[in-house]
Amino acid sequence: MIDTILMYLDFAYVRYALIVGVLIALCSSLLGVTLVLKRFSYIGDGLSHVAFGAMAIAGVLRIGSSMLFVLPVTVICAILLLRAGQNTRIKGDAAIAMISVGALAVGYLLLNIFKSSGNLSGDVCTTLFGSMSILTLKRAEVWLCFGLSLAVILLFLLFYNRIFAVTFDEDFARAAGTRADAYNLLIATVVAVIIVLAMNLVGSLLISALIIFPAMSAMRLFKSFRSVTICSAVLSVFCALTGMLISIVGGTPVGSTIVAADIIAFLACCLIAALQRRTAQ
Amino acid sequence: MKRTLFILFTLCVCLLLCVSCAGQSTAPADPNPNPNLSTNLTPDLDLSKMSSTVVYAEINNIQYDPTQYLGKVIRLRGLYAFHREPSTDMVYYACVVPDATACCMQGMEFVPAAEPQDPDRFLEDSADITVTGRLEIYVEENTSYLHLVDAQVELNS
Repeated sequence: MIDTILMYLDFAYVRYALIVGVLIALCSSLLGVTLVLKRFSYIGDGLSHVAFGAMAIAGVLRIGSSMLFVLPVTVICAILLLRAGQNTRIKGDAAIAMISVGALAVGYLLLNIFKSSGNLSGDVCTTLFGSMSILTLKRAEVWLCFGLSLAVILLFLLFYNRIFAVTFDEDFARAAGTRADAYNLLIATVVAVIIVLAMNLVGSLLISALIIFPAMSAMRLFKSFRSVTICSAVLSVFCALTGMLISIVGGTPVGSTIVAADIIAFLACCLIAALQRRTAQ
Repeated sequence: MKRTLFILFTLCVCLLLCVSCAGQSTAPADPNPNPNLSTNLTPDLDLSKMSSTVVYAEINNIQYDPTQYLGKVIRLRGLYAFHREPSTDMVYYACVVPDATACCMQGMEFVPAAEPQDPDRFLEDSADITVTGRLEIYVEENTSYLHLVDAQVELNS
């Protein structure tokens, strides 16, 4: 078994996949806690559909590195949803739902009208479920993912206290002099970056799982923001690594295997929490 | 806190053991070579022993950057595909490898070492085959294509 894994590690793209996968899982788990606590869990899903639509447009326009187009579009939509959406007539979940299904429909329509390859169902499947994207990353894409992931982690560490304040009580944070709107904007931008990165790992339909499951699992076991964030990061990285290794060795789809590992981790955390409650009684 | 961490650690170890077990069950089945289509080439890159996930990625890599693979003997297992171009009457043989999600496929064209007498009836469409051949590049209508030449084909059971 170890020999098989070592044999696969000889391939550069397998090493790239593992490094990028771990970084993406780490980033998504860090912001996942904030999103869950702010009740923005569904925003990840909406934005991932936006990213799908943007990727379809990038395909139609034959843009070489689609990430350079998808990233700004998703960031703009994230800002519109989280910030401008509060002051418009269409609010909250309705705005997310409209942008989500709208982008999905337009993306699929464009892919159908302007077919860029002979395998439309393959293109759609790859974008929605990640397929083998993470194993077919080119060196430039790996560096881009690496740089963006490091930027997300650094931003989270630098603004940890502010993000903490905005997450729990936005009004109090604003009263205390924190520029809550600016930090919400920062969170929106970082979430958009994570979603674009995670599309390579699990595809646009499964991104929410990567953001929500580790945070929810950690919340079963720990109560403080710091310990939940750390536990969420550890669980997310472990599940991503386990999922990718099972997928590489066993030949299963990468994205759904990672999400299956996240589900098992969540169930295990629920079980541990139940056992803890029983021993405490 | 310590107890929680201990239980988490134990679960992690259990999951890793599960991964080990999963790997053992994925060993490739022994092919049942057809005596008429046997092979004696020694592959430099044996994709027939790898998981579908890695095979898909590796063929993608070969298509993207073939220079480091040219001249190497490659063996892969997949489904037989045949195409006769009506305009030129040229025949093309391919070994198609589906990915784990079964929505994407990567194929490798091959030229059999011994030209079949009746290409249309060489093998049944979608037959499970293992192809071993040397990777070469060729140009057709100003477009470069890759194929395995002197390919020897094994029909798997």
